[in-house]
Amino acid sequence: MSEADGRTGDVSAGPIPLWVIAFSYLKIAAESFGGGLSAWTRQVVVEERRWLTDEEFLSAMTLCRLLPGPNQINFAVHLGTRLRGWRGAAAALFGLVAVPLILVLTAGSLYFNYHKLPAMDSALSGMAAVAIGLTLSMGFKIVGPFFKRPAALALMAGTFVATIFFSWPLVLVLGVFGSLGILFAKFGVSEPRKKAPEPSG
Amino acid sequence: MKGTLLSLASFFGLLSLLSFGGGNTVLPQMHQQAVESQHWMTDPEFAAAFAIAQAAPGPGMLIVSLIGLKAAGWPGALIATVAMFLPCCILTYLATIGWGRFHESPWGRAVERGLAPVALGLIFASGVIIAKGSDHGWAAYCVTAFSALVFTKTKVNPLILIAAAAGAGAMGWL
Repeated sequence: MSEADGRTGDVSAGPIPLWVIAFSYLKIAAESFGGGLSAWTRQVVVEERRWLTDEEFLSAMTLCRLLPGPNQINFAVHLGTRLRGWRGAAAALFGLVAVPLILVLTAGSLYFNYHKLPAMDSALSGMAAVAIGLTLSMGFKIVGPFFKRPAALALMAGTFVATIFFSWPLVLVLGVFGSLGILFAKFGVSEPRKKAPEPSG
Repeated sequence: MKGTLLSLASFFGLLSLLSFGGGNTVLPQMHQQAVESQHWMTDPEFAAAFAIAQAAPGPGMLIVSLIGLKAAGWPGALIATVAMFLPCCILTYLATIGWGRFHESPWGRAVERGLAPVALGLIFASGVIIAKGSDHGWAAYCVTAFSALVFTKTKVNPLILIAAAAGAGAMGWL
């Protein structure tokens, strides 16, 4: 395990076949039934395939948040490009979107043609409640190592509070806490430099 | 029909490049266009399309495919999907090429390390925001807290809990 952690996303070890990328993303998509797509992405990309470390995953996700467009679509393109250039991006995108698109359009045309059942709405909201828990659990799994880094913990808390209680727009959140984090990481070098946080936390 | 396809393409193509902060930030604009100004679908249909796209596997942004489907049938679905996904994908591809060179530099490391806690804060915040937005009752909050605990501490397959919660919801328990 610790050997593999040392890789820190060294993807130049050998070309990853395109079908592996597409299939991994198909797996992510299939598992995200009910939501929690980013949690599933981390599960497959960080824990199963070890294409990225937790830290690389988080910063790549932030990069994809900064760019316009749906975050998970951007992330698939970003990861695919890092692994295998534009072909990798196309493979990831195809794996992520093709099957869900067929399912969503089938469900949608059924819904638009035959009217909705009230029970379906309640079932959907029950699924949503668990999907939100899944999203939160992704945060809890990653947060462990941050307790040893008070500055990082403060930045995390600040981001959360500003977003939830003060409704700061993302641009402002990233402008303030993102630049603080970058400056601190660049100049506040007192923190021990660690490799990827242990997945077991 | 041709006019509808054209306005689907231009609307979602533009939205793709304007949706800073992810797809959910442009949902109000999407609603405004699809329901109020173009009358592509009714309000309940929009809400159902959102729920279907969220619950189905894959990106929740596939709601645009459903808007296209309702507005102009299968060609509409295709046009809306491509228009929403292609521009931002090209931009991300170009940004990643640049990022690849930048990310090995000391500043690149600092960006990677410095943005991680912010991203983590945003993950927690998005969970709370979605819960607040989807008129969660106390029972649903309990389900959310319970499943967060279970998924953090165990390796149980989330589909099991999702199916159980769907059943409980359908029975009217949530």
